Amino acid sequence: MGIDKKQFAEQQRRQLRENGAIVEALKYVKYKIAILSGKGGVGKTAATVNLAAALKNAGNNVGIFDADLHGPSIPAMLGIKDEAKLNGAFWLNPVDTGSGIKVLSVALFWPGDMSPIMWRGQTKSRTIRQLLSAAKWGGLDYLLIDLPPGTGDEPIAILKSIPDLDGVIVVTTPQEVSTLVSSKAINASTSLGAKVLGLIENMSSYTCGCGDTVHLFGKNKGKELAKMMDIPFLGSIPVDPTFSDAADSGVPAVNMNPGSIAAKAFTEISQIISEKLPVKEVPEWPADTTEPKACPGGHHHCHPPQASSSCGNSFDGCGHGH
Amino acid sequence: MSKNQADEQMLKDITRIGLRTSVLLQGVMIQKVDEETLKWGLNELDPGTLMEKYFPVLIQNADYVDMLNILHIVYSLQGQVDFQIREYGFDSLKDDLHEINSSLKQIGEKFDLENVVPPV
Repeated sequence: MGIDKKQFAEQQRRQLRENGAIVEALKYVKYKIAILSGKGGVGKTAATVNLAAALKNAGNNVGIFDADLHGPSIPAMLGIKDEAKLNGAFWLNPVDTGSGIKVLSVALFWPGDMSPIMWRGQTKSRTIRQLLSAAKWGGLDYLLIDLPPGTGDEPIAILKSIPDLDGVIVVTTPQEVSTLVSSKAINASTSLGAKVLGLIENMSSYTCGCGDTVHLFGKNKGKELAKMMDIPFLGSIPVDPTFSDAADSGVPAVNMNPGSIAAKAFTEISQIISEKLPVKEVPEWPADTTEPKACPGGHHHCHPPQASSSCGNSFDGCGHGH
Repeated sequence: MSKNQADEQMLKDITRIGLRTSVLLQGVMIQKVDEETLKWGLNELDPGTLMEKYFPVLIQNADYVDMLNILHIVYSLQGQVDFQIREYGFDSLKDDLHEINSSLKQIGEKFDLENVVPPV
């Protein structure tokens, strides 16, 4: 069943308006990259944190959006103790870590470490969109989005809500079961129009004190999957016993043990990612801008269009749901 | 206003917005409230003002998690109702109704609501 031109134009206008708040909130962010995995426990969050630290160490401004609503662990892995703060009625300020990485996570405003979040699909998608449109990231070179495992509501909401997402990085381990479900995640990303920047094989091998290297879960499985799915292979991260200590202490392993094989691997992968991305310019963050306080980006106000909108933007360019 | 009075006012305001949203969503379920009226109603509830006022208090105390849950549901619903209806359909609002009612029940069991919330 088709729609006529008028209906199509209306549909496009509505989509632009609804995504407009997110686009507006992310307009000072140069590269937006989602980190995805087919299954849990492959080290996706550790990979996100360490890639962010490696990119930060290379002189970039980096932010992490923790979209794992049920198991948000980015703040703990970066040693964040502060809460996110509302800026006016709508804007939310991400929390700065000691290393200068900005973080926004539901864990930063949900009370009690043991209070579960029990939202259903649509509430999760809404929350992600609300946070994306409310976050005041400032000027960023990279925003890494840590997605929950699988292809549920949260990854779909992210992939559908960020129109100019620069790509997806898939993390897997070499086990057959992990590579199998990773192929589903890769297919889900491509079917939603997201470019897959490449695949990282975590826990690829273990080198013991005597110098012997053991491939605990199989050899080259990640590389083979990347070849089969026709996506770039970004690199392998070996098992590093100090990773656990780094995560518990809230310092990325890249910063805690920069000389370790795993830290070097993350640094190399971050360089590959930087080189892969096309040169891109975004507007410079106007640091001294007056914060719009009364006009919530994702809200659909009922106030009529007028010359002096309370959000400080013109009616046409605001992108909010006036 | 003492700390207890302030908390009582917060409990009153959030329970009231929860009850009003519940009534609005029940109206949707029995097809007495259409999409336009729903959007207008959510806008009138103005959850952003309560969010700004109570957010710093709510995130500090695990006992207030149900109040934060209600406020967050209404707040995100107001901001993203078009997206929700487009992606999940009008019927999906029954899950939000269920969630709000569940949190209201938890609040009722946790706090003494007598004389705090007048009838809607």
